[in-house]
Amino acid sequence: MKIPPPLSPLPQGEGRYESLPIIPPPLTGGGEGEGERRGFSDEMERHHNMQNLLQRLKHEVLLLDGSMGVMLQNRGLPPGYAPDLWNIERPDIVLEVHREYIKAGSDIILTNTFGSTRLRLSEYGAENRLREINQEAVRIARKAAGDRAFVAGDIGPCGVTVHPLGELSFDDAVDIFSRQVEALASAGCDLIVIETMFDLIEVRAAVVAAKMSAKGLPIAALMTFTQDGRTDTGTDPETAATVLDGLGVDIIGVNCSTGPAEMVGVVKKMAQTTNSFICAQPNAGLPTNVGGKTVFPASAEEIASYAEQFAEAGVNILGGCCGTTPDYIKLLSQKVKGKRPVPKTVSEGLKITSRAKTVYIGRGFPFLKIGEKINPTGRKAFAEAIREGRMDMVVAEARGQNEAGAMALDVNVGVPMTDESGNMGRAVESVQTIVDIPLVIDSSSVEAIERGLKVYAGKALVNSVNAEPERMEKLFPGIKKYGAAVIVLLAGNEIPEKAIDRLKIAEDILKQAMSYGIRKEDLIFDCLALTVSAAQEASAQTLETIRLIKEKLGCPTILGVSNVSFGLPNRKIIHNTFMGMAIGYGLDAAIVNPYDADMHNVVIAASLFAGRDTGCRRYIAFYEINPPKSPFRKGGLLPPFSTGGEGGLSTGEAEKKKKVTREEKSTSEKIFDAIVEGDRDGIMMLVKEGLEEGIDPRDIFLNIMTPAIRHLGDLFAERKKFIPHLVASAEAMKRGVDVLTPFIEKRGAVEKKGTIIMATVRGDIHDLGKNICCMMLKNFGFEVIDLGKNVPCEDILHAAKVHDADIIGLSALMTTTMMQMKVVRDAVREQGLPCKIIIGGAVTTKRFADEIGVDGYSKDVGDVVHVTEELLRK
Amino acid sequence: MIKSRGKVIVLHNIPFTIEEKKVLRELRIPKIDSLKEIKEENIAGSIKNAIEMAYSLIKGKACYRTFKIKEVMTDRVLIAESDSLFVGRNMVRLLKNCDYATLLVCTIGSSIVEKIEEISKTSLTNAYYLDRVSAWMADYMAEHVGSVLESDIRGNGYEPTFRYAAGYGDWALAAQGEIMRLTEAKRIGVSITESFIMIPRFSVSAVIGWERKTK
Repeated sequence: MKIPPPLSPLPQGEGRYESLPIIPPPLTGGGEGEGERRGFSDEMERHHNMQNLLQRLKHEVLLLDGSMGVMLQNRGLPPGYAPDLWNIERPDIVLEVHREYIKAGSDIILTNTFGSTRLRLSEYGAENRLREINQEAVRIARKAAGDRAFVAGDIGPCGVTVHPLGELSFDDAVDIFSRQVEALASAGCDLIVIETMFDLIEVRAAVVAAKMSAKGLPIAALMTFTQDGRTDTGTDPETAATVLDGLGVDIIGVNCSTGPAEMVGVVKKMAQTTNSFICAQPNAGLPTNVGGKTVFPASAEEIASYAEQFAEAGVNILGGCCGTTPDYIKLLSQKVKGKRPVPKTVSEGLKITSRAKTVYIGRGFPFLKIGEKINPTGRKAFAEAIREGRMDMVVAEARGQNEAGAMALDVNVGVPMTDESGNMGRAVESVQTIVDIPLVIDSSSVEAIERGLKVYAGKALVNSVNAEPERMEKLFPGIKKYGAAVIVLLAGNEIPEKAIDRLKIAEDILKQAMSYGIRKEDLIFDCLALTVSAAQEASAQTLETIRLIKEKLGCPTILGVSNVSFGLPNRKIIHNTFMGMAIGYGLDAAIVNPYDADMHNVVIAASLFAGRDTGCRRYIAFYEINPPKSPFRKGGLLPPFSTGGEGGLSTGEAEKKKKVTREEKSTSEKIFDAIVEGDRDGIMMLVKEGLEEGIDPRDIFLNIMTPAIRHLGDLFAERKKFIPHLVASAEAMKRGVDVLTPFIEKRGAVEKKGTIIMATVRGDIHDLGKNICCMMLKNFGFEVIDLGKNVPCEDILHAAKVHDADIIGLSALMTTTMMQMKVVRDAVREQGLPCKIIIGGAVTTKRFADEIGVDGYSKDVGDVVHVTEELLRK
Repeated sequence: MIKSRGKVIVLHNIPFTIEEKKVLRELRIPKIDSLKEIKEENIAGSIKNAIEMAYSLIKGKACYRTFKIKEVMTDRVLIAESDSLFVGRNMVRLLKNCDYATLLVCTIGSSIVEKIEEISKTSLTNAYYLDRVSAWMADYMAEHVGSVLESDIRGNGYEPTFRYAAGYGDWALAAQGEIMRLTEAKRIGVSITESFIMIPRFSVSAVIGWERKTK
């Protein structure tokens, strides 16, 4: 598409707004008093304006504008054409739209730059005009706004999904957004609005860019939620608000995708999560496409009828998105403009998140159990996997700990002489793909932490900073930039002995953190659990430190408890007891072994006494899911009252009886059971036992195992057992037969039922199903010649001749390859071979088998033996 | 705004969970929803192991692209990029009320296929369980992309049709060549053999139509 030259070209590469020689374009309709920007060209005024906006938001609800796209389309923007290009092609129309919105009551108008990132503009061949398009947009908006409205530099998604969900790296995304932010900010917009974001990583990149390139301007970030209240990538409103709040976004909100009915709930949840201002821009309902045009059904009156609900939910800025026009804004304005915002009740406390969920840490919230097992220290195999760059053990530990009840996971991949940064990136990517609990990024390497923070979608907890000035200097800027929380170790070069000295360190570090712009509520203090066998008094100081931090700083506390028991026997009881005591002192979180059931019991019980479980609800719920084990099951004690069991026996007695019954069974019966139950591990030992007891090997095969597998076949036919059982039993039988075969062969050749050539046809490259069929047929005494997969017709015919086959079994998985079956059948007939043909495989049917004229069809591995036996009988 | 119109959207590291219930259905075990309900502990344990192994091996990826429908004929549906892709009566029936069609390709990667090959040398049962977990998860990735697409489709005022794949009905598997080309499937490591079989094996390709609402 050819882009016409701009009407008002602006010079490229200017760094600041005040240095730009703004050349007024030949705009039409520029009314008296709305005209050129007055007195906004210096930093002081911009700062004043910014303050003005944020100050005003404290006292009144402001109005944003509505859709730009629909207004431009109504004025002739062709379908599929980039609206942003009209900043330079039809600035008069863009100006007119802005003016209509201001007239309707908008206090803030968005520049016409939703798609003006480099990547989006490149779709129209206009990437070289990025600066010009963005700056023109600000100039037009400013011309319309004068001093009656704030001009918001509008930024939409960059058009490509950001790593790890997409191919664009985080740094490249930041760069792409930075260029647009810089262009908008330098042209003099009053704030930056990042909107319609569906992925947390992308919005994080955009905010990081905005913080870097529009220093000092307020930043709004709005995400888009579907009707189920989550973003396309699974983020809920609380989590979005927490992540954006952590990044220091001034205005957090929601726009597009849904109408007001669905959006009010999102606003409410966000307002309960963050003290930042809240913005909402609903669509005019859910759209319908009529004659190629997207039509939004909700009228201005209908949208406006939700205005009060939005205000009550906590909105500070209300506007409209797709389908809304100045009429909508006018009605919304009449309802809420200038009203005092509803006071918020925000849940206080440290919050960390994954991509999908938020976890609160602090007084009154559930005690946070952070899994410690993703750590190579003292674990050779784990360290080796990391060294090889393999993440399988990391993933296994993440899964295991998540299932065991960890509420967050510490990720440490520090192995000497490895690329810790790269491994941290891969580990965080892998873990957040398969669990949805928050991560604690743990490393002594600042680079590794930064890499982890770049690929992490949520708000991470960083482990850790201490009182060493160099560590703070290196780590705090990254914590602030990526919006993380951090564990603060109350130690410098040494660990202070006394609690009061640890508190002093805490105060110093807190002061330092705040000087970097990190908020107090994003710190959690590790009060340091020392080994009780080495220094018994130290534990008391740790507990006292917890108390002091809570009392003096009001901050949450954390411990790694395992250290405390070092060097003593029965360590678990020591560190769990200590953790229980610490919870009593107000401890909020611990890095623990989540596989330790006693730890969970201690936490849930101690929480009762620490004000963390109102009405004992969590305790009761926990034991409903995890009923306490009876002390009578293991020991010899008898319960005072029998609860009854099988045949009037107590549970203990019933179990005992079952066990005895099983043990009383003969080896033959056990072999039979092992086959029926698919016991692949036990069968070989049982067969050996049977042979040692002198059972004839043929007897084992013919009179025990074969009836067993036939019995299973009957159960399969009755739909009491299913294919997974058949496969497991077939393998159990095969393993048993492998043990028996040398003994059977010693006693002479075994007569085979028949010879079958098995093959997956030419073109098909998968043969697992065919292999299972082979195993089953062998178990039933057939001679099976397995030719493998992708087998040409001539090889099948050759094998059939050489082995004097009774049957040819063919498997095919694809519609393109199944016709090879007919090729084989035709060739068999043509050459007059006496063998029959049986077919099977994913795409084959009985009808197809009949159509191509083969002799048998096996619908799955369950009936291959039966069909084959029937064929041989005919 | 149609996010994927005229350009390929590529997704990597698609988050996932493996539901026991879905795996049991894929294994054709009816009625039960949890492995705990399987009487034979060794079988339940092996399926559980297959699920855990799959967590370490699956790399969910997808690519998709949306096309404007140019014309609906009696035997085919035309898009600017191809006259020969959307052919057959079933395809016409699927897309006749649609303005757009999205082609998608998803995969769970090649590591799991290699693992199945490796395991099948020692235990066909374990290989079979992992194979079925993989089959479900390839479908899961397609469902995931389908749900992402659905919000885009509905957000633009349309209804999604069901997912339709080459090789079904009268849509020949030979269409795979064009599907791979138009979605740039090689970017997620998916290619096809001469028989149009996708490599890696646990990959899914399909079309979803953007249907005009009737009301």
